[in-house]
Amino acid sequence: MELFAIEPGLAIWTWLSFGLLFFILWKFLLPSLLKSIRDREKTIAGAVDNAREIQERLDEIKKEEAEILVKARTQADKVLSDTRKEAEVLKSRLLAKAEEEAEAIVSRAKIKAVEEREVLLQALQEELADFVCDASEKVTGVSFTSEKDRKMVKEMAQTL
Amino acid sequence: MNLTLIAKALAVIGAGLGIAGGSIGIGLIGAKALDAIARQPQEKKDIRTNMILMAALIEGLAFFGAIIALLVVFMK
Amino acid sequence: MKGLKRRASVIFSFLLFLGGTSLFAESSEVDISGTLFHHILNGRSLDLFPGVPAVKLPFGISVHQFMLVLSVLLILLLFLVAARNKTMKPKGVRSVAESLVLFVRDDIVYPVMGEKRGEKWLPFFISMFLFLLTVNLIGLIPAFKTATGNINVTTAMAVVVFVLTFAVGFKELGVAGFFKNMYPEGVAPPIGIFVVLLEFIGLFTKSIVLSLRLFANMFAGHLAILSFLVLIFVISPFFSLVSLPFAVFTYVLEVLVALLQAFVFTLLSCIFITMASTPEGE
Repeated sequence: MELFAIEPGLAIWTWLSFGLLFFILWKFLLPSLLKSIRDREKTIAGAVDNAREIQERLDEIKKEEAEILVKARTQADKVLSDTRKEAEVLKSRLLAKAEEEAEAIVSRAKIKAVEEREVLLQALQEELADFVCDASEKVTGVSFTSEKDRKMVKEMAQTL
Repeated sequence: MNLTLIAKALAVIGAGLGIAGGSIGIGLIGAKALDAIARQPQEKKDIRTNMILMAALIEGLAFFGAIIALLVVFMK
Repeated sequence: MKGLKRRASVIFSFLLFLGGTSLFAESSEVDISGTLFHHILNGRSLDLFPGVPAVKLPFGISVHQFMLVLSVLLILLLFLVAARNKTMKPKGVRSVAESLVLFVRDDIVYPVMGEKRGEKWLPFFISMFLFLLTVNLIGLIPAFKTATGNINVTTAMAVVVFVLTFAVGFKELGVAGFFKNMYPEGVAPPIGIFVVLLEFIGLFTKSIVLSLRLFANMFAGHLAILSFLVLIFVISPFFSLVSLPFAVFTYVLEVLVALLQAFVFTLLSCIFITMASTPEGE
């Protein structure tokens, strides 16, 4: 039966040729090839990692930027509101001061007016007393020049 | 002479039966594997490898039968 | 596209012509089975062209031996040429070699063995896959023969795997551990011993089937191609109209089968070696 003929020589040749192929590939040809493939894979993986890192950093920076922007805006808002508040306070203080001053002026004026009135009144009473004394002197012919009389007239004028 | 002819014919029939069985098996494997791939396309690679493996194992059995039949047919 | 079509039709009619004339070239009383097997079985001479006397190989080596050596030389040539190109971007021969190596690595060795162990075994399986692939494919070139269509070659390869299975198993697990590994956990001894026995027999049958599968696939494939062609001689010269397309179809299928069988053989040997040397439950 030729189909299943046993050929030990062929089997030995198979082992020899396969062994030779394996040996040469294993020792000489494959290591450099496998190494280059691995190196390339490593390079590609490194590049991918690098790109991812850069992307991450970029994202971070963007986030930071947004954060800084938000912070700046809030700060600006705060400053604005602070100044507004300060201005308000200043304004109210100024207003109060002005009011106070105005009031002071008014009160001073009032006091002065009262004093003036007082003085005027005094003068009027003096006048009146003099006038009454003179008039009664002329009428009665009696001199009312004494202090006692003047005082009496003055009291009377005050009751008026 | 006649008897050996009958034996050879029977061997060929046997080989045919063996191969038919193997075909059914491989057909079932193929059908199930395609089913699985359709259901889970992400496992395609794994399923395909296993499918080929199983088909090869069954195919080996079918060839076993065929070779035995061939031995009988070519026996002198 | 149009030029390709015309060229294909020219080649096809030439083949038809060859098929038709060859009937008249030989006597009509041909030994069909003899001619069929003559093109598959081992011999000592190469028929390069029809009509030209066969070339006798030197040193009395057989055709299959010659094919084995030729394919080894081809693979070495491929890697030697590939080794010259050392750029970052592989191209030409280099990319062929790299894609083959990567196929073995990513589709056979690493998924089965894992990366750490697979790295050590990678050269062995790469050479095995390339060896089988080249030997399978070289037989598809007209006038060449498939050495893997010879059971001695496939058995030799299977024996390599068989011996390695035991050797690696003994080395990794020890002789006792190797057999203990087959014992299923939580099973009564009588059944367990039976299972161990079955597994032990399985080691042999697996290797036998491994060799038979490759042999039968290659042998049967070539037999199918040749059978279609022989039908021309048996029926009529005009049957080549039917026969040739079928033969071409089978030929194309054989290319696929050659690749698939090399893949299956390598994958199975990888699995066998891994299974025999990995403790249960890992």
